[in-house]
Amino acid sequence: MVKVADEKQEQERHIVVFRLNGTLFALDIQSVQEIVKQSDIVSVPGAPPFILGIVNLRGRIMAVVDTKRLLGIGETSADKVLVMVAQIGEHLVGFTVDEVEQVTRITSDMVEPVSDLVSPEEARRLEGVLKLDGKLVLLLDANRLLDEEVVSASLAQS
Amino acid sequence: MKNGRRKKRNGQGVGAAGANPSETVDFSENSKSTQRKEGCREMVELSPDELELFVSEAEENINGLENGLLRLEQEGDTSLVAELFRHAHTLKGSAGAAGLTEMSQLGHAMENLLDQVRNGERKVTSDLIDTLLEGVDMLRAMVFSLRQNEPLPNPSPLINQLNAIAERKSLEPESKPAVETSSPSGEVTATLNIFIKPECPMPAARAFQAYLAMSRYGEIVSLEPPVSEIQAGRAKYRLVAQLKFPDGASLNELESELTRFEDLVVEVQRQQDGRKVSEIVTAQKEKEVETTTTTAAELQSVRVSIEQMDALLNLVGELVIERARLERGVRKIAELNANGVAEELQGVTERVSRIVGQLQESLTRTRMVPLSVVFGRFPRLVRELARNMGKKVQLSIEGEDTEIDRALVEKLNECLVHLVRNAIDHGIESPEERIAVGKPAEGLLEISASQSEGSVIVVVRDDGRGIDPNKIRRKAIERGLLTEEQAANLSDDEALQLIFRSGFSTKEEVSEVSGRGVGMDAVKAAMEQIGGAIDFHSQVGEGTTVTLRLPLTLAIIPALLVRIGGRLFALPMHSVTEVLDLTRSDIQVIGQGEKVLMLRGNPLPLCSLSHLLGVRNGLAEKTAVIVRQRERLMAVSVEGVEGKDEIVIKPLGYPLHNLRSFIGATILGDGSIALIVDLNGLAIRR
Repeated sequence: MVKVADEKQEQERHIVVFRLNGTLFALDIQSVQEIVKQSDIVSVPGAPPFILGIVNLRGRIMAVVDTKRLLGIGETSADKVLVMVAQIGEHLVGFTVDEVEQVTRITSDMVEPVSDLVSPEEARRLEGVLKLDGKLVLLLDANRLLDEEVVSASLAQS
Repeated sequence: MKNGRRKKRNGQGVGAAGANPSETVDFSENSKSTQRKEGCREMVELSPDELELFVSEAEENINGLENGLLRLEQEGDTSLVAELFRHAHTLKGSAGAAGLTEMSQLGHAMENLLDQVRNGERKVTSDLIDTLLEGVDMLRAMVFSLRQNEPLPNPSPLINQLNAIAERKSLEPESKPAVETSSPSGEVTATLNIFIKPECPMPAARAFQAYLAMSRYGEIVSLEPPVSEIQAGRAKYRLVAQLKFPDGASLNELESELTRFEDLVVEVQRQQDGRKVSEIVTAQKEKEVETTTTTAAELQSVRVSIEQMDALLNLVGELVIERARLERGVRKIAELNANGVAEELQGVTERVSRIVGQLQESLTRTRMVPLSVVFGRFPRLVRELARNMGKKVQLSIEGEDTEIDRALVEKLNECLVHLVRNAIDHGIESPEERIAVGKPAEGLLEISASQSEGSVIVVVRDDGRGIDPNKIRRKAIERGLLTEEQAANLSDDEALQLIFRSGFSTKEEVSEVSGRGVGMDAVKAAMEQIGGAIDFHSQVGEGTTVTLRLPLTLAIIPALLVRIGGRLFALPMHSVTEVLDLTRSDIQVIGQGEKVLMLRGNPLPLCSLSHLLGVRNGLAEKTAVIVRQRERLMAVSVEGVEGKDEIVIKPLGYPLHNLRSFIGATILGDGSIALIVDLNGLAIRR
């Protein structure tokens, strides 16, 4: 795992950049515990559609979110998936990703407010956008990714 | 060791407040500390290690004192006094050394009285024991606050009281302690409503302090939540107490002491109601006896937080899983070669298995408590409720030795209080009414518990007026829950079940006692939350019976592993009654394709579990499992049964924690996951 070697700047932070259907997303490394390859994802009947299933993470049951469905950009095929284990509040939740691009250091001034290009629905889940090597990266806000409203709305649907 | 610690204290000069290097301190000279300004109770700066040492030693002595006092009262063996004296003396010394002057003074005052007993100057009376036990409670409270790093409660009134007793060296039995002996006409009764503000950093400790303050200044007639809850740290928001004070001044003092805590809001309602209160006080006395005996029993045990227990239980759960893997591995080895190696391994595995099994069992048992902890409150409650409502009620309690998972206690208690209130308020008639219909004037209320098939069954039965299904029908129509036609089509039993509908209780029913808008629906919800069930029967004129079925334990349960849609699911054994071969069962189709399985002449609704759960089914379903769903039997079909297993229930985790169809999931021997079906949570679909 990556250590924060630089102590002088509080403005600096590390993010994990990952790819979902060709789009680059990122999460602050503070929220990411580990990335695991998972093959035995057990589907849960009656769970909201954005839940891919549950896995046995070293003796503990953890829900795995189909990040693409959650963000409304398609869906993850179930076989073997890369799962980013994230700390959401006090819970551990897995998020599927296609590929992890890099772990990189950014400064706060690189993060720009979300433009009008994204829907307000999507904007709520974003902390901001930034450019890395000329490519656009959407920085997700871990705390708002699964906030109560989103979850209860989806649960009510199902 | 004690000396060494004391020296260090003094050397650092931290134990300033009246610390005295000698163990026999002349406290009369030190009494100024008790007169210090209110609001600045002594706080000591002990290092964590020193604090730990002091606290554990103090607790040992406090427990010794309490045990000894109780035995002294029961056995009257005065040789115990010497031991008691020693405990008080040690406590006094080490408290003084730690700079805890007031605690030391309290120890000294108790020691004085015990010394008089030892010298034959004073008789052992229950009043004396009571007063000394108050001292024990105070000491314990002080140690508790010390551990919580909070200001210590003020023992001065109690110290004065003890000293006043010691000055009257009569051999006659002491009457009531000084504070309580004023004339009954000066007595003041008040109801205190104490709210703990949300910003209070340690609400449970604050609640305990408030309780102690109340018990110092007055006599607690009733208290909600009960003392045991407060001591267990579960009172965090509000205390409601009815208190009797010897005079108005005590009440004022208490009020000013309580309002010193900035995170408390105190409401005081004064009453002047001599007779009724004194009656209840007698009931309180009886209860006090009860609590002291339980405290004595508790001394034999160690307190472990539920969290820690759960962590241990989780580890054992892992062990159980690994055991299964080990067993399977060894079987494979045995198949491969039949020489000595395999046999030896098998022996080891068997022993390990046995030990793991025992470990699991005894650890699970440590979470169990006898139902007497719940039932013990009811004699008092029933007595008070009956008196308030002008009813006569005889309470009979059975099966209080039945054990239950500690984690279920709170919920069960909640439900029982509600059911008992209902029974006395709505069920049991007034004596006149009972005599008029030819029943004995005294109503009967039975609470009984038993264990059966991995469940604990608790029954609350009264011989009151019962519930009229027609009234229920009418009410359901009034409330718009049913149309007249629907209501007429319900059987009496079905009509009765309407009381479980949310919002069914009506305004007329909301009385001071059972009101507050919580109805049977709340009881039902509470039971379902803990994987239990509720059943309800009533006969007009004969009474009402409510049966609660609770799981024995929440952590590890026996379960039947069934296969549907090519996957394994677990069904808790307590809801499974039998397994049948579907191909050889008598199945009939009625109505629009609804299937019924005939079980020994009884038609049971039959449906596919995969359908109920919404799982795509795989193979043909060849097996039927008869299950209990909300106290009714039904048959569910599955592809096959894999066997029975002890499973560890694990929560599904966020954001699946609210799913109704599953209690949780378990990890099987091969590391795979099986979801545990909650039959009560399943929607009935065909």
